[in-house]
Amino acid sequence: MKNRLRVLRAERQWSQQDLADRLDVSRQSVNAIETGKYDPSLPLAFRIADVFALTIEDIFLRDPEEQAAQ
Amino acid sequence: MTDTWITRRGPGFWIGLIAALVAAVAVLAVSEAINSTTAIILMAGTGGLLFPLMRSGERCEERSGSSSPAIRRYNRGMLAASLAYILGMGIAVLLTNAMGLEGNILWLIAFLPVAPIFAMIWVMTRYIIDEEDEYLRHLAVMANMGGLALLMGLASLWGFFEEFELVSHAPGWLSVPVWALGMGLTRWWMTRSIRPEGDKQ
Repeated sequence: MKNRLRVLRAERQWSQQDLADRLDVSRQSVNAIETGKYDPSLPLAFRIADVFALTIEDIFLRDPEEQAAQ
Repeated sequence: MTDTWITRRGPGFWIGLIAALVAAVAVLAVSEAINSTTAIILMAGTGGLLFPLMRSGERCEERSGSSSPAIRRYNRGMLAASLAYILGMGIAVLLTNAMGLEGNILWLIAFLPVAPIFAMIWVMTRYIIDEEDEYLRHLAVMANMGGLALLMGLASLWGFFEEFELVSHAPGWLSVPVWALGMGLTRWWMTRSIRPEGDKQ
């Protein structure tokens, strides 16, 4: 699943560690989510949305192919 | 944790050094250049290198941003179990050689190195239960699956090769090192592209 985490983080001038501290997760977790290697659980996705004061849909984007298949 | 000459060397250095020393002791023991008692003492000495390996590993985890309280408890638990394994194996071999034990007592002696293996399994289970970081927990579960896949694949393959008398018998205690190797390789594969230092952007 694609996401806008890197852009949102850059806009706020946060390092991966800054975001990890706000989410209470490891920096490796932020890296894995940001690079699309790992899709967070729903509770973590809500926490990410809360940190950026956005909705989950504003941060996580469905793959166009997946969306077309539905 | 401050950088020292121990932590500046990566875990790979310490794993390589331990493997080289264990191989050297094994060669000396098999070629009967040293007796089994000397071999056990040398192996126990090599076990002391697990301390710098753990410190180096923890420094590496901090650098890569994958450290957590649960991981630190896991590292200490695994270190204690590994040392108990070396100690248990040493006592078992020394007692058997020195006293020429026979009969039911051998069941107890054989259990000495096995109990720490059960402890390792318990430490791993505890880690998966205690780890609050879902990605790190995911990594641990996937690494365990990798270890299990390698163990089941190799054991089945070797078992059938043995059935058809193509290879010699492999001892069952090799299962734990094979499982650990599979776990290590899987974890390396999954985290190989993660940058070691914090991304500032």
